[in-house]
Amino acid sequence: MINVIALGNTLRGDDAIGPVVLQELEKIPHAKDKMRLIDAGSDAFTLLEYLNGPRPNVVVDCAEMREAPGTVRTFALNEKTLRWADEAISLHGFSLAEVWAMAQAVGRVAPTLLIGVQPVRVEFNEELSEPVRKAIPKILELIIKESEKYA
Amino acid sequence: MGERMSKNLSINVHHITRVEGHGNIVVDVKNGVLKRAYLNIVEPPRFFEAMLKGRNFHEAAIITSRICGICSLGHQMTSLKATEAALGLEVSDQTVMLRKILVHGATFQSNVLHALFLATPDFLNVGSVFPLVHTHKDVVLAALRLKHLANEIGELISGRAVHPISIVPGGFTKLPSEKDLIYLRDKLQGEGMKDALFTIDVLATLADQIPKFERETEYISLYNENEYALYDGVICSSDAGLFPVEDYLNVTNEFVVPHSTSKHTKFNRSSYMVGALARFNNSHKLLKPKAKEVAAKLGLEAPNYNPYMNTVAQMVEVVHCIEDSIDLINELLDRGIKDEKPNQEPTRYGRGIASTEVPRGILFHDYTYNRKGQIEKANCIIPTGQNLANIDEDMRKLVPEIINEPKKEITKKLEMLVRAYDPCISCSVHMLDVQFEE
Repeated sequence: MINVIALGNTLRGDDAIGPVVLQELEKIPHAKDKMRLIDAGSDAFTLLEYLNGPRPNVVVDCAEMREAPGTVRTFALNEKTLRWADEAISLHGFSLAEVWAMAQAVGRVAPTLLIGVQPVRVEFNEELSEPVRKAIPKILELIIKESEKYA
Repeated sequence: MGERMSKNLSINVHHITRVEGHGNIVVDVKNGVLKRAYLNIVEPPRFFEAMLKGRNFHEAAIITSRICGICSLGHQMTSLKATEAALGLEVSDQTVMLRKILVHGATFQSNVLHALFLATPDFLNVGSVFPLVHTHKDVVLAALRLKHLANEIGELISGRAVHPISIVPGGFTKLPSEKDLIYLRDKLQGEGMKDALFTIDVLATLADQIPKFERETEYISLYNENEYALYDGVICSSDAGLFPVEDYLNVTNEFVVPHSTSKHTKFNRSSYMVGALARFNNSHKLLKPKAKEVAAKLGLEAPNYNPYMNTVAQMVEVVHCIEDSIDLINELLDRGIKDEKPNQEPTRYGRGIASTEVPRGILFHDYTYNRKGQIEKANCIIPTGQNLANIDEDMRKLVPEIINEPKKEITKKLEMLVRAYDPCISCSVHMLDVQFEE
């Protein structure tokens, strides 16, 4: 069993990719047998709770990676990848590095895979862009593969 | 005095940290005369009201809950109440009691995180919460347990910790079991109260770090003669008395200032304050007994005119919310959970105005529905916007009082002042009125 954690705001264009992926996972038969779907909104501290939790995590968020729109990259969250992840992913009020540092100080940190998606736009009152929408099947495939590792 | 007259000071704190969103502190003193002191709000305006245009009454609360990841439940609750007022949807006592528990959970969670993770580092002279993890790990763990408990309240009563799904116009689509409620009550009574009192004991040892500054202002909050008003009530001004929530535009009087992309507000003075301290000043007699004890222990007495004490008032409210949640759960258990369906049969279509006390203060939602049950007009007035003029007024009084202190100290006290209001700048920024085409 893994946690699939969506970060992002459904009102902000491609920032909605995390919650949209959760909706797609809901439609897959028996997906919920292997994963717990968590819509964390933009609350960094919700992420903290799961970093220190018992289950492996997959975090889905749009990330400024200076790649072509819709590009999907994955990386295991650790000290080496954190600097890059911190620049790419922004959490309200706290950075990913801060949340990570706190999780480490508090206790054991569960294995966490980040799936970053290059957005086109994250402005309010925008729809998901076409390149990001097209990335959804690849993201679902990555999540399912990860869940099978821990099945 | 001669030195003071020649004093020049220029402070520009770009993107003040440990607040939600982006704001800058700007202070200019020339030859001892204060030229400028204000909080410069630079975030681009949002158009939440436009997002609601044409939406069905089932959707409004879901959309507004996404206005802000931090104040999600407060917007959702206020939105539901505005929709219910507009459509004449009565809700049951059971629905109101369950909603009050949700509001308590969201309030104590936000208050704990602000007081301990965002404000306390200033009292300990450390730059962020992270050194605190090493020096005060037990406090951090207690705060995280309280956050987790609030999440459990959300999950068991409304289906989710963030962006709840079972609270809808007219009631709940899924109700908690009595077993769930007993679990929550026992945890609130045990671990929850213990953690809250422990963190307060630690905060009490830091009380001398809170700057001694006073500026009497107008305090505006909800007021309810039966309880410490969070979920519902009438508008209370410490200057002018009680007003129906429907009169909110006459109370808020939004206006534009050049240094802020968020509108400011004023009522009987040039500014007013909302939030935990305003609530405490207006409703302190209605706090639960242990919360009153805690207020006394922390040296908080009404009326209190020190805005830095807002953080202390937040911790008093943590205890109140836990106590009242326990009482509400006991009452629900005595009555037994009834299998009610949400009342979603409109009896009218028109305008509905609602207000809730969310952690940062009084929040208003105002919707007008057409006969298809779709929103034609919407307005939201958010607590942080209402506090901005008051923050500026505080700065203008504070700077001359501390002008002879080192610049570093002045800057720190100004940053602490802004943080004390627990501002949520991103969702307060909605400067422009949106005129819908009819």
